[in-house]
Amino acid sequence: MTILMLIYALLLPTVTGLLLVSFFSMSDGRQTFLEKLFLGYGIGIGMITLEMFILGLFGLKYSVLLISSILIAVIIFLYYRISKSKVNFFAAVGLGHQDGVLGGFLKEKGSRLNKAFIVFLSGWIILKIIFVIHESVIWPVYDWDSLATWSSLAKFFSYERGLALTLTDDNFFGREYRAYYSYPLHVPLMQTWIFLCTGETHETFMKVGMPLYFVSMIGLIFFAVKRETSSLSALLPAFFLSSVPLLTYHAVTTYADLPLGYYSLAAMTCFWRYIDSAEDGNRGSNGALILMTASILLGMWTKIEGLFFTAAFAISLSLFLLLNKRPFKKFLFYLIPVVIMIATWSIFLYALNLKLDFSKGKFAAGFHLKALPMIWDQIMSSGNFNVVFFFLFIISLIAWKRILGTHIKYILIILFSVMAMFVYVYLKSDYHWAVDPASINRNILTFIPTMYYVAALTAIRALRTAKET
Amino acid sequence: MNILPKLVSSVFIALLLCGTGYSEEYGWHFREPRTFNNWAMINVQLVQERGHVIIRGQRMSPFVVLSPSGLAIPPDFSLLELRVKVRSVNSRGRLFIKTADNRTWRQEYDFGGPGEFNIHIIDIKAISGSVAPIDSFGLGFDSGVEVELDYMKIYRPSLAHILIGHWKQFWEAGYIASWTVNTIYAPLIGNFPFLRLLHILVVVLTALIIVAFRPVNIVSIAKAFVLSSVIAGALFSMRMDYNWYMQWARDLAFLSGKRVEEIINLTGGGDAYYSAQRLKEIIPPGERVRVYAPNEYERLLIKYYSLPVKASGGGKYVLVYRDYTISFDQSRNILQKNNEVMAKDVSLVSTFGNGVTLYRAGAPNK
Repeated sequence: MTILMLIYALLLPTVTGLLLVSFFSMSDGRQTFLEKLFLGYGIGIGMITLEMFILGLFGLKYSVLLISSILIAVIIFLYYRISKSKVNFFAAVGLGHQDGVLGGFLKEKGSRLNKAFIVFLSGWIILKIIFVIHESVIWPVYDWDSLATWSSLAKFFSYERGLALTLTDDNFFGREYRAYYSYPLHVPLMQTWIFLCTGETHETFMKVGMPLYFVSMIGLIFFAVKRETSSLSALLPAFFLSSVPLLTYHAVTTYADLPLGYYSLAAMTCFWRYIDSAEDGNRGSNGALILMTASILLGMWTKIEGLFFTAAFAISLSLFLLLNKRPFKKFLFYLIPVVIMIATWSIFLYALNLKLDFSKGKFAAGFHLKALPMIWDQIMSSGNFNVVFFFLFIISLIAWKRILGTHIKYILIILFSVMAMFVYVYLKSDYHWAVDPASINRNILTFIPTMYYVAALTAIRALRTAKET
Repeated sequence: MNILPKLVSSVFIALLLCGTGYSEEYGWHFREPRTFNNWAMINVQLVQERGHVIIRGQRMSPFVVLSPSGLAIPPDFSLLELRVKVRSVNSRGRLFIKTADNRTWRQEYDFGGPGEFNIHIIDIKAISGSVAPIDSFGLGFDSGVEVELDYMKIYRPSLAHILIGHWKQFWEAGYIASWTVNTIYAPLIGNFPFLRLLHILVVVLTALIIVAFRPVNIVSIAKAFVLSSVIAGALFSMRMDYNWYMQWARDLAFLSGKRVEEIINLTGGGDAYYSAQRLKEIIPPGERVRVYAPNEYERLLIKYYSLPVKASGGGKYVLVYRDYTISFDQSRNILQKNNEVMAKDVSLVSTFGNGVTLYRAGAPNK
């Protein structure tokens, strides 16, 4: 029964997310079913935690029935809207894609060597996925950060069946079970949802959402790059991303860096679809913009560092609209939800007299350049990020003319802006954790999936001959 | 004509084996408890099982075994080899070295896979950099860990030893623990990071491909660079994933089939877990508990495992979890810490063992 409820806990948000993604990309036939599913998982699980937050605000007691009924209503509504549209339902969810569910992955023609590499890389990735899922259900949560910031709060909320917002209560809003009050609630509420469904506080099942973020991330990058190039070339970034050691560990345990990395990648793939399809005046482009915004909102809802991505996407989107003479009102598609989200959370904290937890670090006068050699050392010597930094910088230099001449520059702007924001914090902060390998590596983890995606797209442009361009 | 290759290979073998190697080692074999006769033990209980001496540390504090002093091991005996098995998945070993000039150094090392013997080769010279002879050394372990020592030896390495040591070090597969969640390091080749070597490989390969397959233009440079990066990246990915597959094999052998409680025990959270279970049996529904523990981590573990019993500064029950700075004054019915009263009207409810005690108390001090 526990296993069945666990499957239900994951399936319900995934189906909701899948239908939502399908609804907003009905007229964009480039996505396969699996790509929509991988995006739908993240969007759906984010929707459920947002819903739980709103229910908690109104003081409603959490129950599987209450939470499910709202999502089921959303599913029915989306199914009705999709069915009533001109697009066939199966086509809308990507099942009618001309290349099949796998995007033509198995049908691709090529030499035997090419096929052998495809089989080898796919096998390696599948093995890695099995490893991650298996390890995540063996290991209970035991890391300090996981317990202090997310899991103990999740367990408290699940027994409390709400957010415990009674000001006079000793355990108000999880007091005694959380280190920071202003940290966003996506990760703990995700675990609370699984607790509620399985009916017991299972020490390993509670974090099963994490390996699924890992799988979805690998799937997203594969299908997003596959649209641009061959299966083998698309497998390469997926393979390299799956082998980022720190990312693998975070898929086994429960931290917020991996989900934020997933949402930043999801936002980037949607942004690229948006600027790519906006070029042709494709109607699906608005849907991509909405899904990008949703991913960015959920990134903010996952970790405070999500604000960096929010700012970076705002810079790049506004530049794209201005430089390409697009209607600037499209920026409101992005800006209004972002403002609502930030305002809601800020008002919530203000109303409950909870201050932002930046207290440990404060900005200092001048720059602390000691951070630079440490960043350099972690990038060049630690075992976390392969040669991707070096690769991206060199390939960008090689292909700089093509970058400036194409829309690739807009996604590079996002990536470099986020990097610059992190470096600025390191250089200006006098808090020792900010210049610690732990901070550097875990912050890089939030944009490393995006980095592999951008590196792949840039390399594809760099390899095209002038004739192909 | 045939003499030259033979001569070269003979010189090479001589070079490889020069140094004294194992013949002049300082060695200790720990299969018999009498090996420890002259050693100092702090918080340790020795038990002989399965042909090995098992060292059990007491639960309340880290434990150390210290060699006799006055060993006078020359500084060129620079490699320490230790074969050890540990039944814990979240623990590190510590090596302490004291040299004749009365200076001390500490080096932490990972145990590798749990429940199996692992050989650790530690470069003592790299730690201390001292030219003074080694006077004594100690081996430190976390509290509550069960350790089986097989042997330890210190020797002057030959070139072959160094090469074999580097090879083993390169393939040493780390094991995940709470501290590796922040940073995972790439293996070293000697003292040189593997990842740095791969960056150099990318540059060299790119240059070679460009030279071999002219003409030189932007696209050909890009192709050469991408191909080189893919080769270097694949080498890195496979080496780093090798760690995970080794971990998988170990976990399948050691953890698979074990109950979650047993695994929690192996991560070092067992005492907190079992204390919390006892606590839940005793405390009536709706009552809250004040938790005192020596550090925030243990305090959090107790609170986490005790749910649905809630922790609160205003709780009627007080759990003192291995916080030996808190004492119960029976004559005044108070719990105190450094002369500060922590709880009044206190009565003992239950003692769980291992320094864990549950009390019932009056209203807390505000």
